[in-house]
Amino acid sequence: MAIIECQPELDIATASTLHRQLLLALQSQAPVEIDGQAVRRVHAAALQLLLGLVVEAHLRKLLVRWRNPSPALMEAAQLLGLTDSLGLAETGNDA
Amino acid sequence: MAIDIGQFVQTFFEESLEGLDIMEAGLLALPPGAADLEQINTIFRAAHSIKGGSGTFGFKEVTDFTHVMETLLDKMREGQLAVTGEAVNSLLESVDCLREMLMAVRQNTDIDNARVGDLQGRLTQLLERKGAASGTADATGHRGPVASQPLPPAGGWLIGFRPHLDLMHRGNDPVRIFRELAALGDLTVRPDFSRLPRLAEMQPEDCYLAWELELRGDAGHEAVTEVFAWVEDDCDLSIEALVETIVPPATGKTAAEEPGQGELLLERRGGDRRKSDRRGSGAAADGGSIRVGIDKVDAVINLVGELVTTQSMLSALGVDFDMDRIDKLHEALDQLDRNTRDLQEHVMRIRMLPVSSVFSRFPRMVHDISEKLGKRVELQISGEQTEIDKTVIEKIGDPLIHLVRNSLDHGIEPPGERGTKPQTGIITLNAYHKSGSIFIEVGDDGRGLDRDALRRKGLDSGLLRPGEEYSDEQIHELIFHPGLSTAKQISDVSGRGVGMDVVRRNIQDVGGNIQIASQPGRGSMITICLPLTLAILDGQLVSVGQDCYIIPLLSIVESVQIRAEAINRMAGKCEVLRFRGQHLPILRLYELFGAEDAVTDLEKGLLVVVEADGRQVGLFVDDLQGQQQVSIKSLEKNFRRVSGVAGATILGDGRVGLILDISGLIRVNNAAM
Repeated sequence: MAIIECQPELDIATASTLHRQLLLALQSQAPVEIDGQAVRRVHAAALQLLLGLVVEAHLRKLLVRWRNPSPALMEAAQLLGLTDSLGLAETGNDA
Repeated sequence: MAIDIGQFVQTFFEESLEGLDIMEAGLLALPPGAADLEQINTIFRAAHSIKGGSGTFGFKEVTDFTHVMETLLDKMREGQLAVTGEAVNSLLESVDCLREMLMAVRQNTDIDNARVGDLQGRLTQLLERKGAASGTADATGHRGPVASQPLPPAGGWLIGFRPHLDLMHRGNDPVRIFRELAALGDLTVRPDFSRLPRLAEMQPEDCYLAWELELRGDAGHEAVTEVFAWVEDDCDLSIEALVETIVPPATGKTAAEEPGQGELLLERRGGDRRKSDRRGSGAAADGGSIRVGIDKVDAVINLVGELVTTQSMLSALGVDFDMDRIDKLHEALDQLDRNTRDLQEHVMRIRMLPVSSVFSRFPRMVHDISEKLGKRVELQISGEQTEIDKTVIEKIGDPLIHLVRNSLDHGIEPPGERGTKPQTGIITLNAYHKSGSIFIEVGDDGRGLDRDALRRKGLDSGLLRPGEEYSDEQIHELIFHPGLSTAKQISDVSGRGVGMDVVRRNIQDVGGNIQIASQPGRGSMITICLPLTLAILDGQLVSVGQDCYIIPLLSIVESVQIRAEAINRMAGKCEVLRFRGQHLPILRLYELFGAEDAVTDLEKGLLVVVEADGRQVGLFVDDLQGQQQVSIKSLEKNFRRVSGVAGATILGDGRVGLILDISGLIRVNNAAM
């Protein structure tokens, strides 16, 4: 299991870092778990990358699971209409 | 005894990340060409600490990489290597890379060795080469026709939003845009993934997604357009009135249009058409938390302590009170008054954040954009510790980005066109407190506004009359007029569609105002004046029948008595007052709010002339009462949103007074006509 711990500020300045982090996580060919509990601020760039990860994992038949997505993360995903596509609807997080 | 150094690793990471911030700030402040020894030393020291720490903990890759950076900095320090733009850029990239390396080590993930190797190679090359040339210039120009036509609101809007790839490079964030949109009504969002490439091929800052949005509610076209004002040059946008008969399409209806990998997500996408809660989404975003310095909390606790003392003093006085002790009572009441005021001030201060949280994004932005434009620009920031209300801070980010970008794009001339001025242009950002307000200044020493071009444009558009003399202020004021964007008028550089009118409106939304001073060839200075807080407002109390309303003092132009002969009745029931050479629409507040027992004869009441969004109207009231500071309570949170009302407050006598929203009233009036 590859675990991705999201930074508190998923802003545009850290998008490159996140991109690399996601690519690395996929390299292991293991199921991916994204820990979103620390996230306080999310930029669309970050969500787009996470969407890229979910799509990529789907193509490679790898499981992606969320752990404790924060309210800020849920809200941003909902605003962009990405809750379901990111698999956040199934997390059951209603915080 | 063995010491477990593992416990210090966390501290190392924290200190190293701080060190990287110092390095970044130092590099951005480093003037190419001139070796600022002190600055280089600061950067060097930060690099050296990271190298030392990483060595201690055995993070060899980090040590090796930092070593090369350190060597380069050392050569710069000793004057053996020139501080070139190329070197600074490579070092900045190295800082980014080092940050990622530290993250990777911290999270036990793999380091991107290819990138590290590449950068290390470039740094070594620089070390081998002495005095490289700097600066690459590629002018950027972007256009984007916006397909939008004003249409009457018809239950809502269907918005097609297709960002250009570089939309997010310019500081724009669709999350923020949609959040604003969600505040206008019920928002349904349908994303389009058809442009999304494979993860490995994605450029992290490019925007591949597009959206179709349905906004239901009574928001006007203007309000919707305004939300996209900052991005209209960076996207393809269409805003059409929603036809009420539209039945929400079934799940995956657009599947045929979206080939490729988009499909695999479509099945799940249908369910994503949930509505963003009008209040909820905003609250979740902003309402979170605020980090408060312990000193501020302590100050409040101290004041509460004093309040308790005063309270016990008053209680003691109340027992067996006789008139001999009246002086003591006055004294205690004065003290209570003081305590309350102090407490209010300190509690307000808890919501205040230093303006540095906004300013801090500019050094990198100025560096990157000036690089792209091939201009040499130095950013000077001062007053960044000035504190502003959190809500205000959140609202001024976009306008400030726009102003700084304007200065970079249109103010500062390219090298070679600056005449006798230093070839490096200067942009200043300054913030300070003055007489109960916050001032933010954005200045540049560029070409300044072109008075003649502005005047011509003003004459062409009928805003100025031929043959009349206008002061510089009046001419400069034109840039805030919708449709007279500085970009198009004042320089040939292709401009962004968003004009200064939007900037002004944003500033006015938080109760502030904006002014510009400019001298041809010497630069411009834009001054924004903001209220200290949004929670308290200076208001004029007016009576209408039995009720009391509050008009924000900032929006009042003057108050006048009406003479019947100066009133004209236009078609319908609209009344206007001939007033200082113009026709002023009259709004009878008692009619609007259904107040009883109000004065209805125009000659017996008063007209308060107010201004918002550049338009004036006269509010007809019974009488003026006092002026006072009122604390604003949200009507939306406690009741519901009411057009024309900004909020409510509790008056001294315990009654509730409604605070008028002047822009809203003007809109209500226009709709009624």
